[in-house]
Amino acid sequence: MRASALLWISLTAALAADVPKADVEICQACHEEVAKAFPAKRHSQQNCARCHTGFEKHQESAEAKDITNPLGLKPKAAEDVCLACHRNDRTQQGHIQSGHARGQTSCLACHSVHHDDQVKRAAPDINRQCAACHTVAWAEFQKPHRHPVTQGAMSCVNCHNPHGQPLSRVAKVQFNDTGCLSCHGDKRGPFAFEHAPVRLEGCASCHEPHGSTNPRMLTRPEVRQQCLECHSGANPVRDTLGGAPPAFHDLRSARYRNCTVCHTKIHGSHVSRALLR
Amino acid sequence: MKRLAGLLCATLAAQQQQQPEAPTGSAEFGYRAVAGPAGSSDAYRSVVNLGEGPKLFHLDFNAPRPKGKLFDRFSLRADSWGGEPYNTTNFEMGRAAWYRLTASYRNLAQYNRLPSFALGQQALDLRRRDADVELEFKPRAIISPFVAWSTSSGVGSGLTHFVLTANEYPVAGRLDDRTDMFRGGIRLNTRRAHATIEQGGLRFRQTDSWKQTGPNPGNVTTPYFGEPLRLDSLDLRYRIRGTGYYSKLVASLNPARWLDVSGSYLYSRPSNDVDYNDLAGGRLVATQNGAFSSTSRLPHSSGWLSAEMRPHERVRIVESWLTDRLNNSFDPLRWNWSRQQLEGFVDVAKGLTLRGGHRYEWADASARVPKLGGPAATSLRRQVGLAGARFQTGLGLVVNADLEIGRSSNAFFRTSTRDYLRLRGQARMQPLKTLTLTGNWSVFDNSNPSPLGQFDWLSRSTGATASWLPKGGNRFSLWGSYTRASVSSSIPYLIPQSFARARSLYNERSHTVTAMAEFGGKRLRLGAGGSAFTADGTRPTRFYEPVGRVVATLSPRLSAKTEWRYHGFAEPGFLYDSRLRPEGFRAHLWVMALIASLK
Repeated sequence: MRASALLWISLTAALAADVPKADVEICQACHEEVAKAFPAKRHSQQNCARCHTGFEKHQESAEAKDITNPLGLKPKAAEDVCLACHRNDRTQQGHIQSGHARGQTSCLACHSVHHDDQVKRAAPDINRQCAACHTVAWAEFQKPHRHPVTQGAMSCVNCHNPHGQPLSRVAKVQFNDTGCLSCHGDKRGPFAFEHAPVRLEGCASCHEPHGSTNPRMLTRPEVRQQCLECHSGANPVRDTLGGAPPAFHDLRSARYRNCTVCHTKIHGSHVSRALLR
Repeated sequence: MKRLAGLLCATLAAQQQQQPEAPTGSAEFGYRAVAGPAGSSDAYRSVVNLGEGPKLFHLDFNAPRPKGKLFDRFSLRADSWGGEPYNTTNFEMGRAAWYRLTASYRNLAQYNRLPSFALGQQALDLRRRDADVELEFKPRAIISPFVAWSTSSGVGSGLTHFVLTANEYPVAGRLDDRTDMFRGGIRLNTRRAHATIEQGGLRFRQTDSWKQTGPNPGNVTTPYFGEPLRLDSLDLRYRIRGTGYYSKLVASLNPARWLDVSGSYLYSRPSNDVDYNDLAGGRLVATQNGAFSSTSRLPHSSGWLSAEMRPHERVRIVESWLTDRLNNSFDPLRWNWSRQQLEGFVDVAKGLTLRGGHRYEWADASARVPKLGGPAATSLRRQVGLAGARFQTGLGLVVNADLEIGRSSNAFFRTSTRDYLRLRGQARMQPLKTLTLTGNWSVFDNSNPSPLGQFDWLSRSTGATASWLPKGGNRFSLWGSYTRASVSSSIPYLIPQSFARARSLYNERSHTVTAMAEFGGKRLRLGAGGSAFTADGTRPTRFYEPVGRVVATLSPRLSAKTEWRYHGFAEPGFLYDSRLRPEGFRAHLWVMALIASLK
């Protein structure tokens, strides 16, 4: 009986000559569901013990408390498990000063290592995941004038790098990266006559990038408000840019309450100092 | 004995795993009917823009482990094709250790024509097409080169104003812009270090042409010294040709177990050459025949350097420095900005982490300003205090709070951030394995003093999200969120025609609800939900988008879907230009679709 059992095992071992010598094969015996859920060619190539330390003791005792589960670690410790391999990936470049790192949101808050969809690619899936925590931002996309995120045409990661970027919370535009200009290239410039806040403070100085109740995603409901709040007509204080000489526009006329009726090239002009053309 | 049994099971399982997996995929195609819109069709197109007809709503195909040696990963996804306002396609293929090819394409309709904006005389009807292709060689090697190309173009028609002395004339025209960016470089990947050296260039061209044939009285119908003004003809061409190049270096290093360092430097130098011509005829104040040309360049450099030090297992110190500088060669706009930040994190107790730090920003800017327009140069110095905490209980409750208080010497613009307080908090709890609750709140309070009076800005928001997936959501799932937000802004200005003081006030108090509930079984699944947004204040708004759907399983690989959507938009009581400008619309959309899947 014992001889036939040993023969059976030997034959089986011969058939399994191509199986790599890794702990995953042993783990599969008890954790079959997890092993099956591993995506092809991704973390399945790794040794389970690379993330789950204490493997050898667990192998003997089969006790859960003897092995590390990153899900049960502090966020920084859980993050270090992933960053042991991924610390220097190109996606992690701005990680150190990122908002997620400062808020101690670990990799496992968004990524499920064992499952096939560990990196969501489809826009609706990405957006649903971000919206689970960023409720306020998701609400802004329900406003009528918005980027087409809820329609599935864009995702949060089109503008934001969730792993980190030098200026957290802010899209990349002001920092010499493409940002808004990757789609709105006609606003890139450089212009012969710049509109200073566009260049110095970015698109968010006048626009709500997520969504707005105001047309053209502006931060004010009427254009005259948008412009006159900076171009106040007063002889400006010595320490602020953005003044302009009085234009004697009569605000009782609808034309003069819509500044862009005349100042058509509001993002910058190559022709007109007053941004008229 | 346990080990032998495990090896036996593992062997059988490994044999099973080595077989190629079957491809997966699905396609959803059908027809959409639109009842409406009732109300403003321009507003409907500007906000929703969904049309009628046969559609390919969704297509995806994945080959996780295909046969063949050319690739071992292949995936394709396409959404919303068939005359839809937003078409997207994403593609990825590769062979591990050899190459990785990714491509994406997006075709977005940019339609905007609203009665309340620019007297209803400015409009856009464009298609923005963006594509990006990147090919990376030997992605897992120590050195992996890559090349990429991306393009963005906007083509269509528009409506704008041609401005002349004493009048402006709405004219129609053709818009065409395109940016092509080429980039390539190498990535260095080791366990302790990574670097990317990238070189890129862009080519930009824009050709706008505006024409007018036939009489156009413009916006000013009052005679000018007894003569009515009129534009009879216009031929305007705006031709821009631009180039640019950039150099980028990104690097990160882990020289010791307790130290991480990363940094980046980016230098770009775009330039534009412009030719402008216009020829106008009619009853005008003066003959109009203009020709201008200009060349402008914008050298722009930016960089950042950050380090994380871990002197103790409970202590982290993060130091970062950023800088951004630009200089327009034609318009004397110059900007030098830098920021330095030091922050410490301490695990004071199990489940409690405190953080605190300081940020210092300094910047100088100069701009061309007309006479009597104010200072041409100014500087900024800002001190910011940072604090935060993270608390986690054994019950799965996680609370995160963040505080930022900034004080500045001045601000570049009257509405800039100057003296501010930003407070944010988030709580997350998972009382059951199937139930996740999240709450967040934020406050941003900014003030900017000036001799005319202070600019005050206050925004607050509170939101909560719940996600419930009993038994994995097979029979029932619920996802919902609610947000209450308010914005209040006040700043003085002078009325141009009288120099009398006035205040620009902006208030918004909004409520937003989004939800989706699905229930049913394998044969029939029902779903209902959508979103509702209401705002009161300066611009009252109502925007409702409910949705209901039924999905019936016809066979293991075929399902039928019926979906109803409603889009309703209104601005009750909003007066613009002293009279009501109805921009509301209502539309019912019906979709009948088949969903076919490979497995």
